[in-house]
Amino acid sequence: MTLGFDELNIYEISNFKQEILNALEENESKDKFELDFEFVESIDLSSIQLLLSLKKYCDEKKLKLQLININAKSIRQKLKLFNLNETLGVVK
Amino acid sequence: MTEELELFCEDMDEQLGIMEETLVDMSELSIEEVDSEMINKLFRAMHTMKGNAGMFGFDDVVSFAHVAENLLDEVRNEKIALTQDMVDLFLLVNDHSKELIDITVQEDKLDDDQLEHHNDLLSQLSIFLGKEAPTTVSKSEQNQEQEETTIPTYLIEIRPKKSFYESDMDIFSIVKFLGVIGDISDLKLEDKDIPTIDKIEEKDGYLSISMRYECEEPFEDIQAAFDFVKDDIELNISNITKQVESIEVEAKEEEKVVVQTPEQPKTTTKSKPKPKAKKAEKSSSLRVDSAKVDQLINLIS
Repeated sequence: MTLGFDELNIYEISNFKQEILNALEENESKDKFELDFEFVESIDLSSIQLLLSLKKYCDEKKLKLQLININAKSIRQKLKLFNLNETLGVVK
Repeated sequence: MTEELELFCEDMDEQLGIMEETLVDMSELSIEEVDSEMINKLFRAMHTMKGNAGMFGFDDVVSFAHVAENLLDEVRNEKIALTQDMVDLFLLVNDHSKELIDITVQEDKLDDDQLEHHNDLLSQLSIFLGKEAPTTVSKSEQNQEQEETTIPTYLIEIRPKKSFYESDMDIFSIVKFLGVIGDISDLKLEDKDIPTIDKIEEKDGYLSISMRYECEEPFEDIQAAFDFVKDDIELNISNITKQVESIEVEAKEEEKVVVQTPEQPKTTTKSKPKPKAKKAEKSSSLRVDSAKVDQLINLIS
């Protein structure tokens, strides 16, 4: 699933959640769930929280979560700061 | 410009205004007539500027204000004597701070002349700090002093509330600012309370953040980093210096004891993590919550 948001923040969080839930429904038969961050330039704590809740969901459903194409330096820094690369399945 | 940034600019104007007014008053007096309240006023204004700039991750403003604040701190503690040249320098510092804040808020950069002026002011401040700093301590005394000085260590726990997320404040700027005035380690994001995405109320706060923090700045400075968000987070800052020290001392003592035992070679004992943990468990007699002791053991090991 390619994310269509420039910024993942509190103003977009409900749309972000809904898009993920829709994509999860379509993804039901697969064993992997991929989020493409190519166009995302920034992320805040509420979105990181949502990603962690997605990770919990994926663990329950035995889905492998992968975050791909994280180009924005600020996002990479934030995920690294909290040691989340491995937890969230960041693909380098 | 966001509402927070507007408030920041208003507050900066106020602090700069206080500084300017105080400095003008001071320049009209003889140095002997300048009282401690005037110095304290300057210090508080500079300190607030630094803290507020840190909240927004304006590192250039923070590092500049930090040097000026250090000099004011030395003056107010009577470690460095105030001079007329210093008052003149602070007037220039005040003018430059205005310029630096404007440029930073506009996400612009200092041009070559401004940068030269910036560096010149920094070196003049440093000269005052360096020239007057006590230099009579001998090298051995200095070493001894270094060995005996323990950097205060804190365990900081932050739990953002719903209002924190809604106000769009940036936790990363706070962490970044703390990193400017101290050393952060073992930064952790605790996610055990987060529900799965199909059940989460996405604007609520479930996360908490913890870190070990070493900082020589006054405790009030550390608290000030959270001033902007104090109503929007649950904050717990515990001084764990003594616990850390005691665990370190016990670990060192144990190392010594074990090294003296002929059956056990040094290399084996030093790399053994278990005895350290055992000893650390004993330190629960310090009446520290056992979960915190466990956390400390992790930190130390």
